[in-house]
Amino acid sequence: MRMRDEAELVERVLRGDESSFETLLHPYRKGILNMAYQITLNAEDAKDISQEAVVKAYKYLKKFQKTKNFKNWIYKITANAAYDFLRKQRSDRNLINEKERMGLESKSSPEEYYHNREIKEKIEFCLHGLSPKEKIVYMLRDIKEFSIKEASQTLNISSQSVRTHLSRARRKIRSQFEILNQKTGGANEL
Amino acid sequence: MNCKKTRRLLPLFAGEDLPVNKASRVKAHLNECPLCRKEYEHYRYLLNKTRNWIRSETTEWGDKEWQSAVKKAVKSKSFKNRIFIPLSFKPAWAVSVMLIIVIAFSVFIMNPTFIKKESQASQSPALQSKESQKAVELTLVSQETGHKIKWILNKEFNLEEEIK
Repeated sequence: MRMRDEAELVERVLRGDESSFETLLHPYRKGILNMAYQITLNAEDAKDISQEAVVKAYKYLKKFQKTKNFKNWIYKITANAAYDFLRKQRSDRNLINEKERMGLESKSSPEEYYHNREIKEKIEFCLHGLSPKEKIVYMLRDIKEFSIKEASQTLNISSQSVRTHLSRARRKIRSQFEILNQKTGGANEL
Repeated sequence: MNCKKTRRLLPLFAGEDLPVNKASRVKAHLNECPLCRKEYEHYRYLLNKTRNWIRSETTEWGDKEWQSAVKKAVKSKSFKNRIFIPLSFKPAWAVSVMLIIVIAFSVFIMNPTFIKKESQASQSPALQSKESQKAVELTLVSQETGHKIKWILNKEFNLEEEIK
C-alpha cells in the first residue's frame, strides 16, 4: 500500500470511518503477529501482544505523522507491546522456563531433542538468558532489520545503549550456541 | 588494534553495527590475524543461522480472530463526532505563547490608569492647574438681603477664593 493511500485511510479512521481501520492494518496483520511470535515463541502470547498492539494503534492513531512510514510505526508499537510483555513475563515465568530448558540437558538425548521440538527448541535455547531489553534489541536489529537509530527511537534509548545490548545479546547467543553444539555433537558446527 | 580489543568489538562488527572509524581498524586487524578472523566468521555464521531459524517460525491469524482483534480495538475508542480536534504539541505551545503575548499587551494598553495618565500628559499645564484647583463652586444667596457670596473650593475642599 502506498504512503498516500495509508495517510488517506488514517484520515478516514480519524473522521469516524471504523471500517477503514481494518483496511489500513490488513497488509501488516501477518507481520504484527509474526513479530510477536518470533519474540515469544508462543502462539497464544503472540496473539495477546498483537491484540494489544492493534488496540494501541487505534488509540494513538491521531498521533501518527502522515509523512512517516506506517509500517515502521505499527512495528514499533508491536515491539513495545512485546517488550512490556517480556518484562512482565520475566518475573512470572522464570522458574517454569528454567525447568523446561533443563529438559534438554537432563533427560533428552540430542537425537530426541532434534526430532521433537527442533528449531523452536534451538531458538529457545539460544535466546535463553537474554534480558527483555537484550532480546527486543536483538529482534529489532537482527531479525526485523531495524537500523540502530530506528531501534533506539522505538525503545526510547540511546544508540550507544542499543549497541551495548546488541553486543551482549550476540555474545550470549554465541555462548549458548556453543553449548548447543556440544550437546548435539557439533551438528551446527561451522 | 590488538586481539583483545578486536574480539570485544566483533559482535557488533559482524552485524555491521560499528561506526566507520572503528570498523576500519577491526577490518585491518582481521586481515592480519587468522584467529580473530575465524572468530569473526563464526559470528557471521551464527547471525545467519539464528536469523534463519527465527524467521522460519511463523504463525497465522484465523480470520475470526483477526476480525475480533480489530473490533476490540475499534470499540476501545471512538473518533466519531469529534467537535474539538486537539492540537499537536508544538502548535499548542505556539498558540499558548501568542495568547499570553496578546493578553499582556492588551492589559498594558487598556489599563485605565495608563489612559488617564496619557490624557493628562496631553493637556496644557495651565489647564491642568486650573482643573486641579477648581473642583467645586458654591454660591450662597441671602433670602433677606439678596446678597451673594461665591466660594470656590479645591479638590481637598479647602476654600480657595471667596467672591462677595
